[in-house]
Amino acid sequence: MQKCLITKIVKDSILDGPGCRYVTFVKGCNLNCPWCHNPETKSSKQEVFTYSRFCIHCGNCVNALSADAQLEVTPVEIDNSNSEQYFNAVEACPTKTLEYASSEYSTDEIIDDMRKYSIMYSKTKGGLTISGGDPLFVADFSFELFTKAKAAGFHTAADTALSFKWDIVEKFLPVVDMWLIDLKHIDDNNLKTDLTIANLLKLANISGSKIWIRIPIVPGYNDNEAIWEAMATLLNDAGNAIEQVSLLPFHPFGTAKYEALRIDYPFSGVKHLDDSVIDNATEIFSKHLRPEILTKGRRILHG
Amino acid sequence: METLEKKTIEDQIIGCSERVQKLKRNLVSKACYNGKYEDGIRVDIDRAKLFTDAYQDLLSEEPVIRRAKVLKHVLSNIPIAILNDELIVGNPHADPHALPVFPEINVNLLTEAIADGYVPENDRQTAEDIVKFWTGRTIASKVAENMSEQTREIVNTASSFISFTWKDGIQHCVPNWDYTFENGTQNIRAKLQEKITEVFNEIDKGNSLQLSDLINKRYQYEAMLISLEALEIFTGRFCRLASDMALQEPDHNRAEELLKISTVLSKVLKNRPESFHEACQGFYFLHLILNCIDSAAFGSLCRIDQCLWPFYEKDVIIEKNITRFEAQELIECLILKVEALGGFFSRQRRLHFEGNGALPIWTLGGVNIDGSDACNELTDTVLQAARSVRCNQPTISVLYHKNMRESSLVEAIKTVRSGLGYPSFTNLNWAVASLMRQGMPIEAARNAGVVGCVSVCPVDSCNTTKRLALTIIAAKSMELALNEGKCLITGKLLGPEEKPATTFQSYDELFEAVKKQYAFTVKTSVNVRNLSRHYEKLYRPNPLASSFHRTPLEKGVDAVAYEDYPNNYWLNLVGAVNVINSLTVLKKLVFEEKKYTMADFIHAVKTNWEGMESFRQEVIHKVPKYGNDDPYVDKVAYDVIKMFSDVAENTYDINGGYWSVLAQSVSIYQSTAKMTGALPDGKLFGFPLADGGISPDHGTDNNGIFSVLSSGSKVDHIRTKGLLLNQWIAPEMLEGEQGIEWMKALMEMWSDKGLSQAQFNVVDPKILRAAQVNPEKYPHLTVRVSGYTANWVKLTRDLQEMILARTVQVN
Ligand code: SF4
Repeated sequence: MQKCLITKIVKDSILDGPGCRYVTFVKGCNLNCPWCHNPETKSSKQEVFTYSRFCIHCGNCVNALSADAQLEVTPVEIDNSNSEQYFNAVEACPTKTLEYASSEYSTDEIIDDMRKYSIMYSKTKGGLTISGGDPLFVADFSFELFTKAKAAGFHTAADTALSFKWDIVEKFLPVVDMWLIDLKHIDDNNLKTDLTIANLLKLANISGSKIWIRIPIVPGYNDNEAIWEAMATLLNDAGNAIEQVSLLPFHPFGTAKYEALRIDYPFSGVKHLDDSVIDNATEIFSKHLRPEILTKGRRILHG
Repeated sequence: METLEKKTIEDQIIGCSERVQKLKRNLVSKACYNGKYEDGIRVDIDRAKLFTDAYQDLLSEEPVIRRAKVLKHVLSNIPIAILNDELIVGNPHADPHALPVFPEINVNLLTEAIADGYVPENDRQTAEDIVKFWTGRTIASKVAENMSEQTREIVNTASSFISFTWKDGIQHCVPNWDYTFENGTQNIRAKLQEKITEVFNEIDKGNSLQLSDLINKRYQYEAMLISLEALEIFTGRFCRLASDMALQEPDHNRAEELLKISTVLSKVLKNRPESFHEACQGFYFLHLILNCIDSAAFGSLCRIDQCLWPFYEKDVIIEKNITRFEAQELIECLILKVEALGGFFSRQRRLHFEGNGALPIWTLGGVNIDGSDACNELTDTVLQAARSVRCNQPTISVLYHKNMRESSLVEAIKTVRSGLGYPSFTNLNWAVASLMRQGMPIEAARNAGVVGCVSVCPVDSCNTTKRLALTIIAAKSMELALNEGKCLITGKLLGPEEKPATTFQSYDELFEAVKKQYAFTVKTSVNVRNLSRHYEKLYRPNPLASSFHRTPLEKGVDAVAYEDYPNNYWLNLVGAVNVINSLTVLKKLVFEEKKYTMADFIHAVKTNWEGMESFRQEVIHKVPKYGNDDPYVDKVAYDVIKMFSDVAENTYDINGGYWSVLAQSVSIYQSTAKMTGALPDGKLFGFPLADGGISPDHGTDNNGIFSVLSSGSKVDHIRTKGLLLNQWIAPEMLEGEQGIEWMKALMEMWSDKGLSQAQFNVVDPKILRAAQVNPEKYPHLTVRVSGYTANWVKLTRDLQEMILARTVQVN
């Protein structure tokens, strides 16, 4: 049975697909988007958060490490490129200062948990969403989980950038009911948007595909009208398989997680995207798209 | 988000007519904040004086006859008024600032009122004379006469006992509304006359063994007759007042209205109501007299959408005499009348029940006696009225079941979404199963309403005429078990002596020690409550309430003394979740992992965790906490609730029924902070106990509301009178159609999981924070504090912080 590190499970989401969603955020991604608000989902290895404001300086972490751990400062400085070394410190920390970034789950554990709340998913026409990270990056796990979910009668959705070879995407066709596709740019080699776009168009051409497009609007990256025009045209060409297009404004909530992982955030200090930018983008997208499919990103404000 | 925010704050009196808006503005609140009433609120000495004068003159009468005659004297003479713009009229006193006080129940309240400055200078002497008369004559003092020195010491000082019922004497008192409206006073009086004739015939037969019984019956029937006369005198006074006022009213429209009111009052409660207006007026009048004039009873009004439905259906739907909007306005007027009611409470109660003056609750929904859905258009109208008029009381509980009328469920969800803090939801399937287990036939179980905050009771029975609860701090049992039976705060012995906890060899031994302390507290408080029941039966009969129930007429018994169904009593437990979490900590760290010893924990609680912060943090974060669907701790939760029920069901009332558990804490959890010492779950002395009945402790649920429901479903609800669950939901979760669908599914899941009760706060914490900074901008913001609703900006900062600290269920 497949297992995977999961950074978070949200059982009652209303933001990640139709109806009420059971969302698992898998650890591991093939891209490295500099604005990413979930930096802990990038690496597929276990990592440790350090939330210094909870530290009571008890020293348990230091004491738990071998004598040659040279550090006397608390909280102990975690090196996430080599996190195993510090697991004892995490176990020893009595507060929420040192915290694993993920826990391992098997596909059965997740399905069993979902079954407890199946009424929520069936009544609201919701189901399972694998987000991340990218579900296609941990393809074996995701495939098995989707397969079991479908067998159990749950609707399935993959939240992915589709930046993979087509044969990987193709393998998922029988077990994924809906694709939530992150479209970041129209032409960015670093983020393999050529693959995203090619796969997106292929998917859109397969009859019965259901696609929701989610576009992060990121200051200094894709907040310009030419890109929006191009994206909108592309999406219009993709046709009726595209049921929804959401514009998601950049927000700085990820900052705290970068600090906690002790890594630099390229977007440190960048503020919430101005509402007017989203309004402009909406205007441009609405010139090309059926108005009913266009939505602005919703956010549960106090998460 | 924007629109919703606006709705939560601004949209508060939208939908109200101009009249209702004016009535709302002029309303005098009887709520307490920080243990104090608002400025200008005073004690009404008139009722107390009228009652005492009549009582003194009637000392030689039989208690039940005396009671009826005293009521007649009070209702004939209490000052009355009809306020501007009112459609539904009646008040405990002409002055809306006057709060009734009931010296005959507990004279100390009046003493406290004098000391706390609620008795105006002019009334001081009268008040002191009244105190003098009642001293030594009240039920409370008679109860105390029966306690040993040791018991008296314990129940008066021990913080484990908070039992409002026998200290405040506050009751529930609900008539059987269907019976009341079907018959009216005319019919009931005729039947009483027949019964009296029958009794005389029986007496004439000379059956010596039945004689005492027959005499008591005669007294009961005659007292009921007198109390009905008293009621008619009171309504007659209002009827004349309305027509007199009409004559002098310069505004033509208002004069017409007053004449119409006068006509309604000339008929009200006498026969089956002819109109919806008359039914609403009768509903309010009887509630007013029973709860705020005759006696202190602040409780439920039961299934309003059922008992008023025939009159609504006739007036609004069949004959179209009034529009739906006019009917809604009448309901809004009714709500405002209930909002204005209150009573003078003890200092302790004023602190414990921050916010609301009283705890009236209306039940909506549920099923008919054949099990079919009982919702109707009035269900929807009441919810819409509540949402538009936005009052703290009455709160509403919806008896939820899967087959509820779609529009009623949607209205209920929209009302929750509006941030009002109610309706709460009571799970009908649970209610029926639980009442049947307590021995009721299925029809009675289906025809139940919510009394108090949580418990359900068949409405067609005398069981609704008494408050049979008492409150204890369950968490104290944990404290006592660890400290040889002694209070950590005072050092006094509050329970059976226990061997030092350091000598406990096993988790089972620890569990038994907690059980022993809990059982003692239960036994002692039940004993005291039983004593007060004995005296209530003797000295506090209620011939008026008896007139509006079936059995008193049939059997010649008093509704206060008689119970149609057994096993009505319940123990309100505060801090049950602290016991669950504390036992889990000790089980894991002491008896399983053996990482710490009992001595470590005893030292920790005795020193309030002083200098042991890393130990305390470990206890908080490294041991699973109830509310996260964790099987380890949820098993302990099952065991603890089962033990609580086992012990309770082994304790009996004076009719031989057993007691049940009801876990809730109103806002008691806050005010009891200083009554419980530190606990092994990491709670510090001075910090509040877990809120709600089986809500997770503050901020300890990290897996979302689904897991909370999962944990909550693992304890046995059927044996209890309800285990209260408080949850926050961010308003965004409920936005739009999608939000309603989400909530509908959530309700169905909650019901399927067999939980007894739930209430949801959906006010965005950001709004609550904003209201802390700019309270003047948010005067109408309400928030639910377990079991009732309070005005947010007036809550103490501590309580506000506590509410905010509870986990908000969001993505
Ligand atoms: S163990 Fe945790 S709380 Fe203690 S010093 Fe280390 S990081 Fe801080």
